Amino acid sequence: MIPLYLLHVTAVEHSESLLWTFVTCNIFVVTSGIIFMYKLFTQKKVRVAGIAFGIALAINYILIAIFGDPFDLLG
Amino acid sequence: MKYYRLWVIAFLLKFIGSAWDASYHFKYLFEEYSIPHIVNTLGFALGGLLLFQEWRRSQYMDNFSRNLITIGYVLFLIGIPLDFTYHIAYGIDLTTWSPTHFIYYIATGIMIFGVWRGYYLYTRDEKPAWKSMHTWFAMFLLECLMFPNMQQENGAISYDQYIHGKSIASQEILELISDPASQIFGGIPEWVYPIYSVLMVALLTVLIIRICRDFTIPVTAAALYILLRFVGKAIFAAVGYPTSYVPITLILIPLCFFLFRKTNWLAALTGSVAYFLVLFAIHKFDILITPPLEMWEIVPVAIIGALVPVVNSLVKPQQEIKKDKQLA
Repeated sequence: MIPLYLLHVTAVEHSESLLWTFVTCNIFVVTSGIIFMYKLFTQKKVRVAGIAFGIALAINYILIAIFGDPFDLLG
Repeated sequence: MKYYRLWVIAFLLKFIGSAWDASYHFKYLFEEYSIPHIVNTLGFALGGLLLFQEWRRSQYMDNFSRNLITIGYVLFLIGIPLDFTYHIAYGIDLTTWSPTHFIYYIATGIMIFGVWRGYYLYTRDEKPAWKSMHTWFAMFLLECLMFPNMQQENGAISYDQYIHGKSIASQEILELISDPASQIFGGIPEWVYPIYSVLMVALLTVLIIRICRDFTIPVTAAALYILLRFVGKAIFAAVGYPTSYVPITLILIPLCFFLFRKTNWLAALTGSVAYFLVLFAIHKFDILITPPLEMWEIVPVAIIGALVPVVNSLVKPQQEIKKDKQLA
């Protein structure tokens, strides 16, 4: 059911190593993002969490610009 | 007020960019310079600038509203790399209903809610009225919640053109179509459209009435949303872009609450049933091209519509919870 409704996409060939590189970087950005958002919600000091999230985001975006297209960064 | 007017412009740019993008992808697969995305990003950047100003010097909103908007921005920024990875894994998804696209909707919803909360507290001395910016923020939240439905609303017209051999989609899109009935509607079953619409509109209406204590704002917000959708449709039609069905019957849900002057199950039930029956009549008698519908869908639509105010009445306001805790 899920592939039918949510993963209803055009299949294209991809490199597994590239995919796993991105997945690893995504885990980093999601984890740091969750910590940052939690600190924002609980109104604690956010400087360190914000810097960590910024670094994770920069790594992900640089990879997208290299392996994709800078316009992919527009969402 | 200028500060919040700039937020209205920021969200309006996001609205224009996203509506343009949804229409664009029913005609083209890729775009070299992503102009709809650039318009969307301009709105995002203007909002980012306004948010940065608040972080530098807190002037127009409380810290929690500012943090909520920041959470929306963080979530949106997380969504971009996740969406990219999703495209590597599964290819290009020609649907608004993909999991990573929902990160964008949730993030934008949080941003709008944060700004609206800031505006609500900033103008707490004035009673919320439809002539204020409450209508704009309510409309943006409605648009954000209704955005996934653009797949069905654009898809209905595109599918009709396709089966009659009059598709305006580009060759690269047409080559991808192997199962038009499923692909054009994003693989989403047809019953999702009316049920999702009723759930979201009823929920938003009840919450606005509860928070703003005003029955007019949800009606004017829905009217403004429909008006802007018609403006967009006229522009897309003029330049030969795919157009969409405009969900005119949505207004019947807040309108019934307005006429009943109560947020009870009867007002919600009447609004939901009226929404569905008029939509079904439009569909059945070919007055306009609507997303596909079946009559049995009126049952879950009515039940869900009626349940929203019931659940709302069961949730206590935060102040009462605090009082209860103090008494205990």
